[in-house]
Amino acid sequence: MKHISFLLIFLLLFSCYSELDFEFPEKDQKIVVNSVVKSDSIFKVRIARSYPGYEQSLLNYPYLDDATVSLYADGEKLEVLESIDWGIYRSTTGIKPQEGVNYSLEVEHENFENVKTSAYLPPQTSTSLSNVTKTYDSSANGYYFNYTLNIHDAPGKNYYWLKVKELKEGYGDTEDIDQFNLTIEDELFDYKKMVYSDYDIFYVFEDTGFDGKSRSIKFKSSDEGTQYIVVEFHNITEDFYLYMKSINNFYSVSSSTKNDPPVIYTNVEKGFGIFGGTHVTYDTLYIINLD
Amino acid sequence: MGRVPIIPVLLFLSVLTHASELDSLIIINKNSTTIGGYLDQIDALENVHLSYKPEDIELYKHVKIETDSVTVNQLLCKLFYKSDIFYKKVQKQIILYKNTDKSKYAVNGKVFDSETQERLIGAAIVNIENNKGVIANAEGYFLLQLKAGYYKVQIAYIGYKPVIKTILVNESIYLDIDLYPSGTIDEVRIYGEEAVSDHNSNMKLNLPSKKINQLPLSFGETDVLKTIQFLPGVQAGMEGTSGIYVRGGDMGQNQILLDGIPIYHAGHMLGIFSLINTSSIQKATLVKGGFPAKYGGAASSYLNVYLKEGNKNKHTGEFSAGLLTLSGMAEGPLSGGQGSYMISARRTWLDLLEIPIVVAVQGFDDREYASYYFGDIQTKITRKINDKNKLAFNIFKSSDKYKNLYRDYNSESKEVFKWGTTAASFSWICRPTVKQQVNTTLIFHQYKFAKNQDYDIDRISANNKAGTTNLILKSDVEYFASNQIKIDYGAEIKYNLYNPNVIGIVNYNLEELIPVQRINIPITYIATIGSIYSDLNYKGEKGFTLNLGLRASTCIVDNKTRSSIQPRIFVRQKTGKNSSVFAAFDRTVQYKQLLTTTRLTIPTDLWVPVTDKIAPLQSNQISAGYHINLNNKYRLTTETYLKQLFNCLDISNNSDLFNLQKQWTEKVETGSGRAYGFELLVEKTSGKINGWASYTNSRTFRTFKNINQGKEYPYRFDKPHVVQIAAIYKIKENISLSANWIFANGMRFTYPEYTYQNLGREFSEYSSGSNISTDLISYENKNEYQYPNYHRLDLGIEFKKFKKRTFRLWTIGIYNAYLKYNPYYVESYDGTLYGTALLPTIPFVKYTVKY
Repeated sequence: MKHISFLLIFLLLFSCYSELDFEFPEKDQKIVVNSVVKSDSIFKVRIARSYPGYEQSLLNYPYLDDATVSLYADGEKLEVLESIDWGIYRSTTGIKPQEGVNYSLEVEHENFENVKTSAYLPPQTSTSLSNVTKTYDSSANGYYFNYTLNIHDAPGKNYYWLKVKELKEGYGDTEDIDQFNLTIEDELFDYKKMVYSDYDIFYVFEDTGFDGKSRSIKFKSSDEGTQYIVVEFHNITEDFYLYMKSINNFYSVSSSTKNDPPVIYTNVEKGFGIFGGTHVTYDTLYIINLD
Repeated sequence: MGRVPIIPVLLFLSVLTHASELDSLIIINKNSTTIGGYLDQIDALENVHLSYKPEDIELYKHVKIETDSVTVNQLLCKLFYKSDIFYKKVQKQIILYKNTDKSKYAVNGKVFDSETQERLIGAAIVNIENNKGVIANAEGYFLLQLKAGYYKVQIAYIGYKPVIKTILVNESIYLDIDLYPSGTIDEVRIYGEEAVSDHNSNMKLNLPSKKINQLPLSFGETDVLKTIQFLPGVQAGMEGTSGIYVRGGDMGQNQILLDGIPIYHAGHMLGIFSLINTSSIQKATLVKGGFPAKYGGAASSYLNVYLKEGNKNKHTGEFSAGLLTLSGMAEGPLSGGQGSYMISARRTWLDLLEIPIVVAVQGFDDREYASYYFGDIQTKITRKINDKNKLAFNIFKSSDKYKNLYRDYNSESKEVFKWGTTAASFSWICRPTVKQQVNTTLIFHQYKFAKNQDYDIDRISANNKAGTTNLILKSDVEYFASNQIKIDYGAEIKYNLYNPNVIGIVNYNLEELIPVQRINIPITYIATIGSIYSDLNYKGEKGFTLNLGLRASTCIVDNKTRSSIQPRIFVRQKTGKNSSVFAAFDRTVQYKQLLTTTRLTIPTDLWVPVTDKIAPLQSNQISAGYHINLNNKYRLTTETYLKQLFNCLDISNNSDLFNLQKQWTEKVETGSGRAYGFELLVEKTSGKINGWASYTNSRTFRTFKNINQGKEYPYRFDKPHVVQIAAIYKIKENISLSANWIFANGMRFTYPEYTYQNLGREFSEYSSGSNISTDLISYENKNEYQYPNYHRLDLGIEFKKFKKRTFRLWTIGIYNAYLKYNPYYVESYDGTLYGTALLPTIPFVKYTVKY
């Protein structure tokens, strides 16, 4: 923090830096489970381990390739996932997640305490794009696309994850549109109320205020040779939402020992990580003859 | 002069009493030792006419008068002490008569320092016969109500020679009593101290200026807040800073009142110095339990700092030069002693040398430096209108400025931080009757923080302001109903303007200098707080004391009204001649809280009000203790307390106060807290070595729904064991040695016990940029670890030299004498903890001249 610069003058004058006679008690390390249940994919899980706080896990090889990862559906064991490499385990039966089923994972490893977690596939949320126009903004000396995303929210608490991508001329793949090139004219996206990543390319929010109703969100993005725009809209589980929210905060808060480390949400019992669920909808807007 | 038989009717012709005849001096003739003989001596005085009935008086009774000369008044008191022969001056005569009057009369007056005519707040006025008495109030005023008769009254105050006066009470008497400084802080035998003293518990701790000035702390500067850190139940915050944490509360739960003016940010230089220049202090009192209902607005403690009014006899002053500061104080009479002034000022001086040196070494156009200064000024003017009315005017200003400049031939970047307090108060102290004192005060207080950053290279400019402004009108009434009952009551209305605007930034387009991003959070809160209170102070027979208080207040913010009823009760019972037990219950409510992300006293700490979503902080505390005075040399006080806190505010786990994306209201959590502890204080109050030692065993915890998974955790200043020792050894009349030693368990901190991988590339669509492969950290319990134990020894020696017109004082010492690295903060690398200590061993020297 910049205001700590107040300290500098005194630190320069008087401060001393020394090793302290202090021993941290060794804590038993834990299993880390990372997985997202997706409507269009088979089950895939990454299993790793944690390291003591003063080590960096990625400098080690944090992945556990010799764990036993069991997948359950509504309490019934479906299969033991197959270890591939780099801590990845996947389904060998090719089963894809179904709505209305509660999936759980149990991970066993001889060196660590067993962990358990569960998730489900949320229902798909119906969305559509409409009202596409192209306007000239004289103050910015450029063209903008205006379009509306219509969300039909199902009754009950829902959590969403949104990203807007575009394909530009000369590029082979879509790119994320960041907040400097994307304006969302909706109080739902008020910076005070929502969560977004440190690179400002995806948005996570709740259905507070439009539970069970339709909601239209207006977008405005700059035309820099845009060929088409894709709005990626996920209905995500509450656990996944809380995890994303905490991750976002983690990166925005200083994590030195001057401040307490931020807490990362987990739904893994006796372990770390996230077993989330998402059901994605893609809406594509082709930019043809809008002039 | 012949003896004229008394004419009883003359007694009823009493008019204004002129003291001249009674004050006439008599050289005692040791040959005549009977009452009649002494009366003859009085009668022989040229201007004295004595009248009495010879048959009423035992004229041949022998009385021994030790002194060579006394006043007529003193002689008559000695001759007829404890008898029913009273005397009275009626017109030109002094009439002796047999008393039949059983009425009660008021003995009131003020207690002053003889040299400066400064009022002595808290002086004890005790009737020696029954060890009962009263304490002088903040004006040095006292009222004893006594039946007609002779009394021996002792007037005493710490650091002054006590006075015993024999008085005849046969009418209301007004006494202005001068006490002479004793030159030491030795305490004296105060008759009936257990009955009258209001400080024989740890709940209320008094620090007269002499005590404060005998403990030089960091950089040789005496400091009221740091002296208080040596008292039981008071924890210091970070190393060297003046923040105080009282009985498990946080820094924002203390109210510092400078002559009644609330001071919100009490620290200079990250809190290493407090705002209050000790040369202007008359007395300080810390109250941490048994709160009178008069006090409101803080949950944990009140520090009352009374400023000197100024010398009413002559113009005096002092000047000090220390390692970091220059300070001065001047005081003197106004309007021929009907008024007085006191002005004190202090400033750091290093920056005055730094800039010329930087320019000389680096050149004017290509230089880089950081400079810092602080200063403060305190002024008090008083004016007595008449015996019943007085006006007082205070002005206080403090300022800090930090500047960081980088300049080369192409660009200039600078950061300027300025902050400070401006305050003024106007008081009218009125005594409409001998039984009543009314103090009406209007206070203006403003704290401002401003930051200006200008980066040529990045084209970022920021101008940020934050602060609080308060306007307070209050009236406090003291009603001395009887010797046993005193009632305090009053009302207060506060208008508080909070502007907790943290940061605003304008980013400019590099080429066209067009603002491309503006982030500004100009939020203003207006809080109007009205309070009324009443305190009943009862001193019963057999050493029973009861203080019963009730405070009611209402706060209106954003059209939301919050109200509170705050009952207070304090009871004490004497258990022996010099011992007592006591207990208290207090409910306190606070309509503002301090949000801080660091443990320093930094200007960006935010004072925030209650809102429609954030309820007032409330504290319930019960405490009980035992006090004993051993041979008038040692005082031992033990006390235990249990405190509950509701609606504490803290920064949310995952929030950064300086993150601009959210309002402060969305970055905080409300929760609860609890604290308990045991305090032991042993004071040595006389002899060549005096001082105190204290031990505090305490714990303090917090619980927030979304912090530490909702589990209770120790507060960061939870330090179970604290030992504080302050000792002064008077080697000679002009040389004294001081030593302070403190031991405390280290501050608590949270250490990331686990590091693990994020979602990873396999799920990269849910991460972004570098976050894909960044490690996350986690821990089991918040504040599970403690810094290494803190301990420190400071040594100081004072050399005094009295010259004809001046008094010179050299203070030489060493802070942290045995070089203990007490870390300001810790960091870890590869499993090893490293600490940065800000204040290693620092020798200091300070020179003071008083004239």
